[in-house]
Amino acid sequence: MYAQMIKSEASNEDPALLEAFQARIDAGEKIEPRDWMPEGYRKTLIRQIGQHAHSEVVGQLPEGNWITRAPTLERKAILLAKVQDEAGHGLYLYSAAETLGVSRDELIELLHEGRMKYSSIFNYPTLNWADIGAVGWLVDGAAIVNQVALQRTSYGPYSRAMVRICKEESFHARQGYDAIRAMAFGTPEQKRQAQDALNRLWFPALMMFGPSDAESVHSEQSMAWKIKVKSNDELRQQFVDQTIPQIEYLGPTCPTRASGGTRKAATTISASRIGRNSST
Amino acid sequence: MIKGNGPCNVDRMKDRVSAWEDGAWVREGLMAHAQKKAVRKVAAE
Repeated sequence: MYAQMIKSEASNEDPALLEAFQARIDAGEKIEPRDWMPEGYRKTLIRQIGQHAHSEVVGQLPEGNWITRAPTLERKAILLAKVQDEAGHGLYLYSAAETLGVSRDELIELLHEGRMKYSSIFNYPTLNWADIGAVGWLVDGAAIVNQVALQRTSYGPYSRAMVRICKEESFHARQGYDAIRAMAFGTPEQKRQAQDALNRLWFPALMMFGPSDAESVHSEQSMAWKIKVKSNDELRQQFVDQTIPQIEYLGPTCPTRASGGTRKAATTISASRIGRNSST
Repeated sequence: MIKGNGPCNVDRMKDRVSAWEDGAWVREGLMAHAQKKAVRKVAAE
């Protein structure tokens, strides 16, 4: 997701402290900034929350490009509000990261020097207005699936930031779906643009969940510490299950289907073929 | 793409760094304002 490919760090601390820490995690307790925590837990969280914050901030850029070109005043006001929300999400997350002993300036410097990542989904261009609808619908839709799960993450400040962010992300996904719906039920040219946007953004959206579980080498420790609460494939399947009926309703052909797959064959996502086919 | 590169990677970072540098005067102004308020608060106590 916005923070995939995070390398978990092993810990070499006092086994008794580690055991007590793990017991708290297993009991479902939240870990707070002043609590003892393994250095690996702290470092992994700084990377994950920092990468998540950077993704929110860089994520403003592809949509910000379209504020001046929104087709109506209403669409412009909605997009402006959404882009502002993303800036706010970045700030909540930088604040959460700061509770772990890293400053916002340090994190921003690492981003600007190319030493910290952000989600690669934002490195795709937004070529037409349908892309803006598709970004809200698919990218924010995928983000919600991940972030709803992260509301139960073990680190208190991150978990609470997710609760607030999820409320706003729901609006983002709905506005995207509404924009793409208008295109999908519009003129032939609008329908063509909606199909084109889906073709280009479907697979990148699926890849937001990271590599398949079999190839996700960094997940095990993060799952044990409940930094991550669901596997990449579980989250991806959840996104596919909620999105395919929407594609079927809107009418465009799902790219997985267009590439020749059958619905049955793609119901279970595999590492080599990510996705599920729409039915006719 | 998986490793962070993509069609717009260079553009995104260029825009991001440029926005950060262009906003330096706003951050400086906010810090100066906050410091002024803090000094006044201490003086009033």
